Amino acid sequence: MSCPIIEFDDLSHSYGDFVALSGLRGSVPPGSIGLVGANGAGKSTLIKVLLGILKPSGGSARVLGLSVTEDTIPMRARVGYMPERGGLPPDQTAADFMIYAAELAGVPHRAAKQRASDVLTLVGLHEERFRHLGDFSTGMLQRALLAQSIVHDPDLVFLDEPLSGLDPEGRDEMLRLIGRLRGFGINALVSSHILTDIESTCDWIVMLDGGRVTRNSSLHEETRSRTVELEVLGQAEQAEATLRDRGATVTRHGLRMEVTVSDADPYDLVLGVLSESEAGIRLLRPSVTTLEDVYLEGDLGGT
Amino acid sequence: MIEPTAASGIEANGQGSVDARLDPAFVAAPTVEVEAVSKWFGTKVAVSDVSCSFGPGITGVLGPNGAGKTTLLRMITGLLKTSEGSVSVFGMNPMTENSVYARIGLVPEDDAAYGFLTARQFVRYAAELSRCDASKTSVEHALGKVNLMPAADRRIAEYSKGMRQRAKVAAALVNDPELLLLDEPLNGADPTQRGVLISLFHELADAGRTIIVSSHVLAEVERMTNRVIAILDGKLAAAGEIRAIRQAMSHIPHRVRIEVDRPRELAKALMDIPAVVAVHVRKDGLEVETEDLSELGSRLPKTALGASVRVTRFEPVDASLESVFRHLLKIRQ
Amino acid sequence: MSSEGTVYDLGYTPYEGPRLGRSGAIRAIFVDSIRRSLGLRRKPWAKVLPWALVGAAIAPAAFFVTFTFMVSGFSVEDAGAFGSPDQFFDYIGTLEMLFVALITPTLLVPDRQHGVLSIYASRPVYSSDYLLARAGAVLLLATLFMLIPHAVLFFGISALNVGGLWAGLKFNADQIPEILITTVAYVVGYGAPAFLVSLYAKRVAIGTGVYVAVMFMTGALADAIPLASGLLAFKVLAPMSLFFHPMTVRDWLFDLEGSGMPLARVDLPQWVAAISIVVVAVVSAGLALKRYRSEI
Repeated sequence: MSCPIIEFDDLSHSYGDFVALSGLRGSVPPGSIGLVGANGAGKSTLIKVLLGILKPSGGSARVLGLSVTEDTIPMRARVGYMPERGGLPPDQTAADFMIYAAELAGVPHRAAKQRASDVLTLVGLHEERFRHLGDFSTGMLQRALLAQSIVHDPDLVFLDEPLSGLDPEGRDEMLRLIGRLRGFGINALVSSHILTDIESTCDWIVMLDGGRVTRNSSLHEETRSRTVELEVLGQAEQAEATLRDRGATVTRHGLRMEVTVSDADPYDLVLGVLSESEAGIRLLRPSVTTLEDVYLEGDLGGT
Repeated sequence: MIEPTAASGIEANGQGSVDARLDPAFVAAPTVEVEAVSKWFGTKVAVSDVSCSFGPGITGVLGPNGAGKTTLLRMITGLLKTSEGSVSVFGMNPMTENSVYARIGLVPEDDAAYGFLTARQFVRYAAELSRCDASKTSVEHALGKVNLMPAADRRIAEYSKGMRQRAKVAAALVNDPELLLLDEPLNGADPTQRGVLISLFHELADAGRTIIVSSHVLAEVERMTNRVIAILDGKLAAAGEIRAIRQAMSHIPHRVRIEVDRPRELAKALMDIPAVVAVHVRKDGLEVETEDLSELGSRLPKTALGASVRVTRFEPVDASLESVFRHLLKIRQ
Repeated sequence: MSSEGTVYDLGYTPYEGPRLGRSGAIRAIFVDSIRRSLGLRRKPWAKVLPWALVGAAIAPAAFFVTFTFMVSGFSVEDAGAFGSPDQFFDYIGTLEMLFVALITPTLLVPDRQHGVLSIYASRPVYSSDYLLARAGAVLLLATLFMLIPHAVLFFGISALNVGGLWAGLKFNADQIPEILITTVAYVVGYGAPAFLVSLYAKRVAIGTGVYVAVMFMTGALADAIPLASGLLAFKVLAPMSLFFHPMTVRDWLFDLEGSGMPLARVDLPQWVAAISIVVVAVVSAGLALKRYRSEI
């Protein structure tokens, strides 16, 4: 693995009797990483440990090659954080705060002014940047939060539920911005409950369950080769029956069918049947395991 | 002019020749009726001449922040007076008839300040507020439905966001309401909890309740329901079945991705279909633009067989609710 | 996902300049603290109170110089009726307390209230750095708040000296150490409790209000202690009269009787006030570190 950006070595953390993280092991490669898990599975604890806010009860971790406990300060100079509950001072303008945010990361004053201006433009805050943060809408606040997390050109950002509170347009924009981070040379760890968002932006998954890592691997769609997803126009029951007659296994949920053919090409069969029965296609594609399938099935083997 | 049919979806207010029964903004046996409702705050018009109705089943309400969606929902619950027009819930005015409350359940978006109560207390309090049967069984039943029984005696302040959401849902369910209004009900819920809540909503809808859901996560709204109404700039921008709404946008051709072993062969054959307006040849297939998705879908199997090609994907790329919403935003500009 | 051959998004320029690390961050927090306290780069009304207090502190000094001039002209031989620094502390002591009451919660509470600490948590600073920078600003501003009026008074009175400015300065110079140390006593004596209250207040107004209330209550305490009382309870209570400790230190340094002070009433030596101030400061520092340990 080329230069992992995060490494765990038997990392554990407990709050008193409650074990939040237990024996985390493994490494995470550069790129966009999704962090998923149930509420209480340890995601926020993990982020706090990786940022050096909490000292782990046991084991160790490295971020960008630096120990989170021994090299906290140099490590933090290279990471950014977009917390879930927006932390912006309402009595400062966005422009002003952004300069401060850059200086807080060690960027000298003049360069900080330039960086602040650049990232505000990048996230789409133009004239609004001269208004006080207290007057910002949710969408604008989220963008400002993202901006402060990258204003110092970090190598890795932690994004905790970056799309919360955003309307559909805002979600689109934020997803697009997050998708661009890779091209900026910024790795991202995105924690979210909305698995479709993770699927569209991330190429690697870390899944936590009860404080343990249940999956730490790349996120590519696993195609089930002999199964296709099908939706027909018109007589679904009739098509289903015919397919079954031809030896296919069919499961149907409403309009959507999953057709498995073990001894022939499923596509040829489907098109043949539809052509004969004068039914039309609404949807035909290989059946894939989505992230949600993986999540709900639980442990599919970690690293 | 789009000929209104049962399949048509674009806004249908104030069109004299339209039979209101067929208009997709309305349902046959409504629980909630919104008639020419407008609301302004000073000079700002939050909601402008919206007419629609809701009935049993789940209806999604979509719209950008600040577009009037929340204002409309508050007028439906009787928390806000209309500036013009009327709202009727169960045939009554929700602002004046208190009996309406016993039959409504509301899950608001904001976190009410009930942190010091346990879930059990909160749900019982909600039951008493709506002056219904606050018996132990209905409280336990509501808690059980959202899976909060194990944590029911801990204070809400100690809950995770997802658990607070479920407490709110339980409080809304305790009086077994006929009408449920849910504002971002999945907020903070983890993937498993989301699935559980969506199933719960389906169950309630199947039992005949009217459920109105407002959410920004359109992929999830799509999992919950086929029927949506969209509010843009205070006006009703679209209403009806998602697919029908998309179909009604006939000036925006549907885009379909087709993966096929011999793209150009299929491309040639597809150009014979009148509904096809453009075919883009890509690396592993085609992207086809068509004015009529059903027409293309019906003709494809025979066309593919006729051209002796093997099709491994036929997938509309802009028919999802997210795409439909994006198109609506573009239209309004 | 390979580490070679990345195409950079041309809409973004990476930052390749110098990075000042922890020291740059601490300096930034310090400067931000000064600005925030004085309402600079904030909405206009944020400037009103702090600057009004500053004006209220400098004005008496200017007035006293003027009165002295009106009474004695340029022939002052000593400090004059209005010019003694030890008396001047009485005038601006309470103003100092109000100033500290205003700026300290403003520096600590909003960051907690609005969740801004999460931002600091990803910056190259420790929680102790944050607290030191904030406290440092309070100490600096509170010190200037006292010293600038004193300087106005000092130079003003010296300029009126019968032998001219230079003679006046030499004449009054021996009081400089006392003035400086007493200022420290006021700054720490009022600043530390304000810091302590600000660690826990949920709103700025609550912080200011609770602090001022506590200080005035300890002031009322003093009056409650009967003169020359030997009761143990009062002997224990007296060292807790936070409001009066800086004044007692002033008495101690300027060799004044100060018989009305709480410690004097229970016959405890004046340096106990200094010890009290130090104890409160140490306790505040310890609690601050504890409170902020898992925040940044």
